Amino acid sequence: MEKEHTVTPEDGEDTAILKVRGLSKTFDHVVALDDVSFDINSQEVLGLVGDNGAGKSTLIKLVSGVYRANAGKVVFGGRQVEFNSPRESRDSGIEVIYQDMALVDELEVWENVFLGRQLRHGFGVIDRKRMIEEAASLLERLGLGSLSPTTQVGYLSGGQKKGVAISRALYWDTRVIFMDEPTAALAVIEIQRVLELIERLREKGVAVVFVSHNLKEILGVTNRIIVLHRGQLTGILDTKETDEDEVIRLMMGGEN
Amino acid sequence: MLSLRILINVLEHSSILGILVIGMIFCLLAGRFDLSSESTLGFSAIVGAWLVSTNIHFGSGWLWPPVAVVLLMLAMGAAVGCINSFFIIKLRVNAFIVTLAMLLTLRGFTYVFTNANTMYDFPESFMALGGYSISGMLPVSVILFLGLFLFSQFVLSYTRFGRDLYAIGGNRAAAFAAGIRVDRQTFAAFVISGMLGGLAGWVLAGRLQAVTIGLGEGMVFEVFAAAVIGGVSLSGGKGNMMGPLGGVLLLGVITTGLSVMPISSFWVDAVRGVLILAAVVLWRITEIYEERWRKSIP
Amino acid sequence: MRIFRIVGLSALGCALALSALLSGFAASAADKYRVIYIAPQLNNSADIVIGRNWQEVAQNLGMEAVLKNAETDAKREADEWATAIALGYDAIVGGPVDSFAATINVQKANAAGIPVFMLGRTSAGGKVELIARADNISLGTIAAEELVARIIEQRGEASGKVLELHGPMDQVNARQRSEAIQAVLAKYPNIELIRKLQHWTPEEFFDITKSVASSNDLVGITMGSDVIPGIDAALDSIGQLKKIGDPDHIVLSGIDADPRILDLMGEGMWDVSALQDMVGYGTILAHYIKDYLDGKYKISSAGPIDNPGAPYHGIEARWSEDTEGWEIQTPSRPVDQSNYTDPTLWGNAIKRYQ
Repeated sequence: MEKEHTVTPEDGEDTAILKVRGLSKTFDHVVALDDVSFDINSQEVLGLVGDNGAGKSTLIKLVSGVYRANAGKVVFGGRQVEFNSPRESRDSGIEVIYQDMALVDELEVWENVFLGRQLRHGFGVIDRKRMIEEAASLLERLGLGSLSPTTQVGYLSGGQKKGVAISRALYWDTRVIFMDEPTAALAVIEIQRVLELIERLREKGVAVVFVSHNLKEILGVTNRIIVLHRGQLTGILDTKETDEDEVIRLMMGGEN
Repeated sequence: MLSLRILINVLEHSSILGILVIGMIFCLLAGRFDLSSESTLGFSAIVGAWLVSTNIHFGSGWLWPPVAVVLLMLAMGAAVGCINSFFIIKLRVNAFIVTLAMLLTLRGFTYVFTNANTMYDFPESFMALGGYSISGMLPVSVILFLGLFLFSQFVLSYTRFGRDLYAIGGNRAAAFAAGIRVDRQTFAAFVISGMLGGLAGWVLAGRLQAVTIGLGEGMVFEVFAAAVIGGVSLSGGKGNMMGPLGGVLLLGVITTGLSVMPISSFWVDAVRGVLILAAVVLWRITEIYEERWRKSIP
Repeated sequence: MRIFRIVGLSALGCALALSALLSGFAASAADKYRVIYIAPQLNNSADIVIGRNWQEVAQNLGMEAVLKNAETDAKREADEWATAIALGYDAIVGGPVDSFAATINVQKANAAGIPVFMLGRTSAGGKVELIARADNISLGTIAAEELVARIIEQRGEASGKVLELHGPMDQVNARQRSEAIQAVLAKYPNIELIRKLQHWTPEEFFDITKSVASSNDLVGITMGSDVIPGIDAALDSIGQLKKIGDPDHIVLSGIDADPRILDLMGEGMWDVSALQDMVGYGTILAHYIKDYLDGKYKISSAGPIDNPGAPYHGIEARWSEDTEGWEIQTPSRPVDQSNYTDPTLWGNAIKRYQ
């Protein structure tokens, strides 16, 4: 059963589920991320844009515990957190859907949904039957009912795979989902499907960070947009009050 | 009666290979492989024999209790797995090089230990697993090896460890991102492989009632052949235990069959090679058809 | 399900293979005696000639003779023995990879009531009806005596460093030959013997010869068996392979008289070898097995065998020190420039099998 959750603001106007403060990361002498601060609110879709090498994936990996930051902090659900591995961040409720989708082609749908977190009977024996049932009802609720949970993922289309990855994120008590280029390499009709799924996630109270090169999609689906340029934050924009030109200008570093 | 005896012979001859194959599959599923298990077998047999036999029979003369020796043999196998995985996982050295080096090192140690002498005349209980047959017909080693296959299949299908191995071999990055302890589970696979190498050494020592240098030499090829015939992918994430069990038995039938047949022994290796190739091709063909069939389902 | 398909496939394979093989074997089982020789290896001329000659003679005597190969692998050998026992051969002939590991095989054949014979080498125990092999002491003694004689001939005195490549001491053949060589050389105090262990591989023969010869002034080399190549190549690689007659020639004295060695004698490079008469003892054993199975003759006491007409008539039989059973040993003789073309030498006879 997926859990619905409501987010109570810690104080009057603070609805931020995740707060990033002064986050920096240096590889050897290359500064990948430099003093970046922003908030992610629950029930919002936050766009994250920037050119290649702007620091988007470094940022995701810092927040999800793949890398350790050199400076700065992350506050999640009101508590400062420091994740040592993706496992810890997942267990806390931060899920990342990577561009390469992080699915195992050789395994079936249900098993990908429960990857690394299988439900078990006693004695550590995994409960296949229950997981298959849960996966089926999960897919049903996401409008992916035509997908059999026992299909091998390798045989699915790109859009179907995204659906599996998203339903996996949804099953667990996930409060923030980072989606790295979720629409890349998909057919038009499948892109539409994914955007609908994002909308549905937001309705369920999940904060979605949407990373994309496609500014039309970003402007169409997000509430706010943060822009990175060479590791630095160059803008936090309200989607309703901005346009493509401004976003592009900030992506180039804010000049001209 | 004759065919039953031959069948039991096939099973008994396959038991050593089978035990090594199980270890290899754990590694292969995780996308790694362990070339060193045949040497682990030889080394464990040598050390075990050395500890239990008298110095007249080229042993240490310490006459350790067999139970302790067997535990030590298993522990030594586990230690080999630890060393392998330390280099492979922590230092990121290629598994091929690490386990090949381990293969050569352990083989070298067997010479050092024995001075190329054969050790023999072991206590009865040391030979229990390899040498005893239930009512003179069914060797204990056969029950052990079939039981190990079934148990391993259960581990692969119904435990997190087993499922994690598939995920690790299928897509390491995905497994890591999903929070699977990739290094820890891979480490466990190598330790299991090493321990099974140690176990196989014990069984073989009991069966031959003597231990010589060169035990297990060249078996790694048959181990790979059995795994591939059984449909285990060399690139990881694909396969199970029952297929390779079939592979092990098929190799056993081929080998025993070739010794039953009055064909010239000069042809045996060539014929065996062709039969192994045929089995692999046959497997691949069924796999291609299965893929087509699956794709035809919407 | 995939699993069922796999199991089904392999079960089918097993069933097919077994039935085909069994029917093949059953069809061949007629009124003839079925005898089998499980050779330790068939990767060198000596083992090939032992096996093929025995098989040929046995077949000519009207037996169905099978030749199998254990490929220098004690486990493989145990498997072959187990299969042969299960198939119920009338007699099993062995020539073990490892004397001690083979004992259990012999005991299992004993328990199954199958008579066991040994060719060339023997197990360390069990009941063996007859061991036919070369006289190792004679081999080692001749090799060493001929070596010394040629060193004296070339240098005028028995002195200098001699390399001996000996096999593992747990192999009866290796030990007896080496002990005989040492016993002879001990009589010549000015000869310094450098003994090196090897395991009958060409790599070891090459490496050891090369390293010892390049750091010592050798006057001669002898070895447990000259079937293994490597010595002449090693000497050649450091410029020390000289013709007989050259003052720097290193005397080469082998055991077995391999065909390669006969060729080297033809080129004037190799001095002498103590002949192992594998053709002879294989032939003798094949005849003895036939007579044994027919119930015509069985050795019952030590001393010269008395069975007029048989090729083993007059040969000295003795109770074996290794196994429960009888043993005969064929004596050696030197092969050198004077007789290396003799067609009865196994090194020349083998050309029939190639």
